[in-house]
Amino acid sequence: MFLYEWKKLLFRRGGVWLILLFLVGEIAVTVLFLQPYDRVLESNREVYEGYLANVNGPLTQEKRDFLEAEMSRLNNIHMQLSQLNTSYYQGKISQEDYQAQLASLTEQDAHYTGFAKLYTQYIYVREVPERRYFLYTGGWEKLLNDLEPDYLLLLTLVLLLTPVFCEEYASRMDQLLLTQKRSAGGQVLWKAAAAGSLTVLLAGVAQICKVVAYGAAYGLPDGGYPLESLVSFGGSIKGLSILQGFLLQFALRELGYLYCAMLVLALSVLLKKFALTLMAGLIALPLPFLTLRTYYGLAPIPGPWALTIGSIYLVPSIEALGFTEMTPFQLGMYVLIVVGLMALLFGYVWWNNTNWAIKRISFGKGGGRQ
Amino acid sequence: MKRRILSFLRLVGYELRKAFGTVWMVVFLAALLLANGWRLYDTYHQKIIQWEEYQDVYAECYSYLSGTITPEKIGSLMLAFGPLQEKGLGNLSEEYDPDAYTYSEMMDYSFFDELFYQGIYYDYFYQNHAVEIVNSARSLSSLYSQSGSSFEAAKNARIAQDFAGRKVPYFGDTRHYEVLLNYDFSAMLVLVLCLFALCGVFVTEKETGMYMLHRTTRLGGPATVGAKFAASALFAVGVSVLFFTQDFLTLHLLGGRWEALSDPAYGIWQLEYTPFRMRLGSMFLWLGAVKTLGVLCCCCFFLLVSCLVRRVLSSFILSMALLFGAVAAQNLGQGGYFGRGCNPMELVIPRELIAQDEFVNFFGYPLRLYAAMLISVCLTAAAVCLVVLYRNRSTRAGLLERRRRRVSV
Repeated sequence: MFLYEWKKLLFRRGGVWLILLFLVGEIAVTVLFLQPYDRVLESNREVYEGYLANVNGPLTQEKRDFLEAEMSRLNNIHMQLSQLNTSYYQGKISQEDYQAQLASLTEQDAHYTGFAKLYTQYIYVREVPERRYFLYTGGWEKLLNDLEPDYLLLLTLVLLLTPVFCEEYASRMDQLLLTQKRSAGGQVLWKAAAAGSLTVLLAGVAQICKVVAYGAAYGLPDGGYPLESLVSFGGSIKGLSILQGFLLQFALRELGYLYCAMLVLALSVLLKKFALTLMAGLIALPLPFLTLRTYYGLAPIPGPWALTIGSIYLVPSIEALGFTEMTPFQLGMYVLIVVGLMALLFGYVWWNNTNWAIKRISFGKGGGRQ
Repeated sequence: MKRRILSFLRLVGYELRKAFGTVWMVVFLAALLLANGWRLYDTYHQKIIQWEEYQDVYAECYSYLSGTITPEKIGSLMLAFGPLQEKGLGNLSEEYDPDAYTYSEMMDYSFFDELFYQGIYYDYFYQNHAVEIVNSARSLSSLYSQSGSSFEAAKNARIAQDFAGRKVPYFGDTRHYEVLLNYDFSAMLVLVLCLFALCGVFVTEKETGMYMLHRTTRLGGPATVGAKFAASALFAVGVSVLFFTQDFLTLHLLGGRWEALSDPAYGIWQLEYTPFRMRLGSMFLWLGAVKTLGVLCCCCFFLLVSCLVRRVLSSFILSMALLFGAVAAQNLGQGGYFGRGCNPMELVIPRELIAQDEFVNFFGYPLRLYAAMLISVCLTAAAVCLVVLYRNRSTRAGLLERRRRRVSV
């Protein structure tokens, strides 16, 4: 039954084409519109990496000394360069002298921008040296500080999952299905299982696409360091490592998209018609994101919206927006509530597709289903 | 004849009720109107949030500086703004200053610069700017007519005509109207709602197998199709009017200052080079009409898809793909004049058309770009409608049947 539902989902209704289109779109969007998190850092990556190799990891006294010394040396060169320029403009030195000094100074000064990036990071790290380590953050920031939902996936889910129940209603098969002995429970369960597994798969593929793309383009090193090492998560109170943070985000997103799938299924059972369900799905899922400007307000609502973004639950509190980070306990309770609501939605779908009369008769016979 | 018209009207009414008169339609409409309202409020709020604290100061300054621009008003503005300007942007302090109008010197500078100086400067010097344009267009025109390229000569002559005698003698608060000019969200909502409503117009009959029966009835065939068209058009126009009126009224009331409405449209800097000489209020009416026309043309495409496919689901998905394609094509500016001329989104989001005084070479005659777009998009939509009519033509058997019955009656 499960495999047959899969087959129906994918081949009978042209779902394969939709999924292929989604994958092509997803890869195209990830690869074509790839913007670095920090443009200056990326253009000075080699210099930065060269210095970073010396200080990677937690802050120590030697590293402090090294960074301070290097900063004062480079600052000196930077000052000398500007002095040289001024004195040349004032006519204090000749053209030849200027050219000779300029070449060597410019060459040394080329390190300045790259090192300044690392020094800014050092200023950030030394505030809380126990929980903030040195590492290359461009890739991780890009991956974790992504506060937009995947519109393409939301759209695909609405289009793909609407027919799961609506098809039976449109062809009036639902009544026939209800007369079957196996229909009670099993039918709905397998449909939901097929829809859910497909959703989990698609959401997983979409996220892995991003991981691979960012990993290849920027690199995702040192996942074991504390999450607070990333500037965007500086005040995080969960005490996670970067990799744990990513896994939490991954899991929350999977849950969010699964919630979306359940919502679409419940809507399709409630509304029964294709056009109605599609429209309701569009209004329920992508529209709130398009209407609101910032999504922090969605975080405490037990709906699928903030969960599909995931990283909203990792971001530290922002007072100006009245947004507070959830503690691990609160997050756990929140997830429990969400799971409970999803169970309610599934219960609604199940209730509406179950023929209680048949069940009663089979119980009466004492055998039930085989 | 009267009876036939009445029965046709009844048919239209019935189609309207059948396709659009459901409870869910009302629910969706309410949800979208709510989303639109919130978005409008949010966009406007975002625009003015920086000066919200100093509303009283703004109101005081505005009540004196608004209206006809006079040397005395400019003088008193420069009394406050001139010293700050002379001091230079780099030398202004950001510390709290008890004598300042707002908070600090820096804040005062951007307050006067952003809210009054730039606007009044633009309005005051627009006349000179227009004269410059007219002069250079005239000289270009004579140059081209000497070298024998008649299109360029005629084009420049018309540009000179367009800009001759333009001036903006008034100053008014246009921030909310600028938001309205750049606002596309409502048009997209209207399109999505129309997509939902129209995707089933022809398909439903096909799904139930009723369409063959339709064509054999006396009022079937052309009359039914006509009624479907009329009902769809009525729906699209109704929804467009509802949403675009909401846009205008919401921003109008949020802004609260309406003087700019009777100023020339080119008083807004985004419309500096607009080919229109109408007032801002008429401009918004005109824009609403063009947008509605664009929505109607989009609806023709939705109807075409609806009569070509066999299932509501495919109709919805295909129409949505078309819509996305059209939006993407417009945003990327692809397709050249021909591709743009077939794209109804050009009318739904007509900002580019009204912002520039551009012309198309139509057999040597300089046709305005917006007129060319209007004509070509409407022609495309008409062609699409013809295809829909052809797809729903009566069968020969049905025609014969009708003819026989009319004879017998």
